[in-house]
Amino acid sequence: MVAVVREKDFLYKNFLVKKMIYNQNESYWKRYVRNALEPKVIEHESWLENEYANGTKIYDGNPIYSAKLHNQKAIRIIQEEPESDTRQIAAWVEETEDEHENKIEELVISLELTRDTRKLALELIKEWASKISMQKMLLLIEEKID
Amino acid sequence: MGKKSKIHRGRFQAQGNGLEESESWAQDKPLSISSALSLLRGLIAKLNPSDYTRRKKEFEKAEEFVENASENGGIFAVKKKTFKVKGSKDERVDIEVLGGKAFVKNNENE
Repeated sequence: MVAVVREKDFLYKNFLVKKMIYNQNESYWKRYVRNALEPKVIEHESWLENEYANGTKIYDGNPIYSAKLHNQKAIRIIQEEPESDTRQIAAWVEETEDEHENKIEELVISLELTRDTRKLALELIKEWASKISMQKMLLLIEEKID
Repeated sequence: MGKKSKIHRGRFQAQGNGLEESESWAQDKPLSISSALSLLRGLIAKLNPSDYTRRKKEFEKAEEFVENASENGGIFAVKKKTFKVKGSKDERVDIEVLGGKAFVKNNENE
């Protein structure tokens, strides 16, 4: 069944319009991810600093949150403009590399933010931070989202 | 010359729904805006018409990001941008700047 979303379900609805709301929205994700994971699991928060070379911050939610984890894994959350009347959340895992050319496995979550999508995202993040393999994570994503 | 000496590196990718195409760079100087746009066009040329049509808007967003970056001094690694087709499972256009600097104005990488 397709989950219906109403206008009032969106959280931080104007995050792409007002910088203050955007900053609060960023803090919101930090708070929730930190609550979901053991402190020792997060190695480097905001490792994908969202700014141009001249230091200008990019307020596009792409990503709104990123972190490198202790086990050669990473997470990235992309928050999209809230505009849909059905639940919007997608996730996938991929191999990438860090600044030292070390291979890392990354969980990417793209969503429109509601309490429902936040809950799903945090469930996926908690599983990803454990010893789960990419293959099993793909199955879990299918089970929970697709 | 070894890979390690090419400090400025990254890739553009079109992925999802079975597609996996990319255009990458690895070079001694930061990638210029014109080279970046040329790589993006090269990536589009690799796609069949329907894969491109599905991602047309996302390619435009990627191009806009590269242009904005160029107006703001480029971007330093590591940066990852994903422009996902709304409503799709995972169809997307990705930008990854994995080392050094990219999207500088043409006269800044000489």
